[in-house]
Amino acid sequence: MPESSGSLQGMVGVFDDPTPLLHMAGKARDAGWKHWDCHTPYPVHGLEKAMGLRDSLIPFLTISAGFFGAVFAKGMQWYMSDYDFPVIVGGKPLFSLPAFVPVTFELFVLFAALTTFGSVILFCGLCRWHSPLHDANLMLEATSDRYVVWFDATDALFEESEVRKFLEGNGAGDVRVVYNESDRRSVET
Amino acid sequence: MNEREAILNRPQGVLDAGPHPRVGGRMVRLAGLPVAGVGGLLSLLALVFSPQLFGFSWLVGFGLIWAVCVGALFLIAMHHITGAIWSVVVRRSAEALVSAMPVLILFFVPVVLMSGWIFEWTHEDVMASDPILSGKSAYLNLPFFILRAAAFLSIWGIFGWYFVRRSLKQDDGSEGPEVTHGMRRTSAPFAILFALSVTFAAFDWYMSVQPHFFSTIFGVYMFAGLAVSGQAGVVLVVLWLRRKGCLVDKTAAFGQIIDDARLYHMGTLLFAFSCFWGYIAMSQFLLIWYANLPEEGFWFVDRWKDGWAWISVLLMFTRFVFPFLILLSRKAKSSTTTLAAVSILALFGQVVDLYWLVMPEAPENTSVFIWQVIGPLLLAVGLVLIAVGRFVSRHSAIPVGDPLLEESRMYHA
Repeated sequence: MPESSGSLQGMVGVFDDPTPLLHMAGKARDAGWKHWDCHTPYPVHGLEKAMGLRDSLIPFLTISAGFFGAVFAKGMQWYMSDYDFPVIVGGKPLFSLPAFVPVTFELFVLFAALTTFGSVILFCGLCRWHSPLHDANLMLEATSDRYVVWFDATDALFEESEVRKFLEGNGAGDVRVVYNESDRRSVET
Repeated sequence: MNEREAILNRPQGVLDAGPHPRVGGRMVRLAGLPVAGVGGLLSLLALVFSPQLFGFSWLVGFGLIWAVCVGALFLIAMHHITGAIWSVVVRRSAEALVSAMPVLILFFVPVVLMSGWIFEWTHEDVMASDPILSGKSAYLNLPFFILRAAAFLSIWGIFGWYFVRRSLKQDDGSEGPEVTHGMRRTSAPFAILFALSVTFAAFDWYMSVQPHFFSTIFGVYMFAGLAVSGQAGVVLVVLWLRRKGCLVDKTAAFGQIIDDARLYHMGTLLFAFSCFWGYIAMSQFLLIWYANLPEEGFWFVDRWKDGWAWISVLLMFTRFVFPFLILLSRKAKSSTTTLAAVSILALFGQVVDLYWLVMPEAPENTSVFIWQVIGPLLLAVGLVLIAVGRFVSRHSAIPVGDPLLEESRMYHA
């Protein structure tokens, strides 16, 4: 290893086919890996099961925000039409449920949609500026025609020679070690 | 090379694992017989004791068959028009329901015979003495009513027959893809005819029970209900065939052909159409309630007084609130038990809907619960069960000759 390279980030196995990646993911899941991920050009069916991903929290947040929006809408309309500035419209009661349905529905959808949007961004880690995979040009490949599995060096199971054996034994023709390039630059200067 | 690749590398075409298992529909036909028998007996009793209420009740029973059969026909046409892959293996179940179309036509005959009891506008003296109704007499008269009904029933009958026959014709594998192309081409003009026929059938059969009432969204309202009931019926047939082991992939790569993904799609459609119904029902109610015009508002007042409010609330909960809340999660949409329960609930909701539309107009109704309705409903359910049982015992449970079958079997996401 060249001394000038930055800190060890992890290792990747690159596949040309989704099927060996599915096998690999299943084995990594069974081996008990915690810090690892798969990158594919499109959503590979069955990968979430092979990786053993838990159900996302997002649907729960969405529905909670939706119901919060509905209660908020009803409360807002009650405050405006019945409490703060009561005006009789069309002979209807000040607090008339049917008339409040459209706004309630819209705010339900709006709150649910904005929460989904925000939580997806947050949960995907989109606020991160940089990943070592970018420097290694891996994202370029993973977004066109290659299937990449990533093992992070922070995982307790991480041992360079073991991971290499693990990857090669499962049909990864292309195994690479990834260093943090921005670290190296700081070392060099 | 794993199993999946092994299947992918096989030549495309007719299922090469031999003829598909068929269910002995005898069980269902045998189950249908006593249901229809009891229904027929109760209908006869109702006819003898309270002929007019029986007329209204018959319209409710007729509506249930209409909703399920024509709703299933709509789903078949949607399948062809979108060129869907996932639903190829589901389509045969919809075709089984469409095969009950003769029962629908048979059920319409008593509607015509009893039209004098059901439809106020059939009486010329009533029409002449009412200035509003006499203005509608060019449309609301018995000969034109029968002519229109004949046109609607022919459209559904002929296109239903066409889609089912063509699909069965492919089963022996001798037909090429042009049969599928033909069905796709036909489904587009049928969609237009379907929209028009269902809209005017809704006006004729259910809106004109109260000839003073008018609502331009009424056709869409009925269509929304039809789509829910059609999908609910298809889910029940599919789940029954799956339970009977007729939908096991013979190559055994994935076990059940109707896997979680397909259950999820059917659940999503059921969920979406239920929400659509809720949206349309609310739209119809909100505008009439807000405008508060006596010439249309009275219809909702009739459905809120004297205990009918309970039926209105039941309608809201069975057709929208419960299906919405139950089917919201992804797990529920792909669970066979939940889907079966929601489908039965949805069909019950269709009955409540028809009951809610028709019964408040019956002049002799003394309470909110009218027992006369049970007979025609049981008869309708029994006859549809017999027709479906007969169909599935004669034909394989999936369209084995469909050129897209292999692709559909590979679909699992």
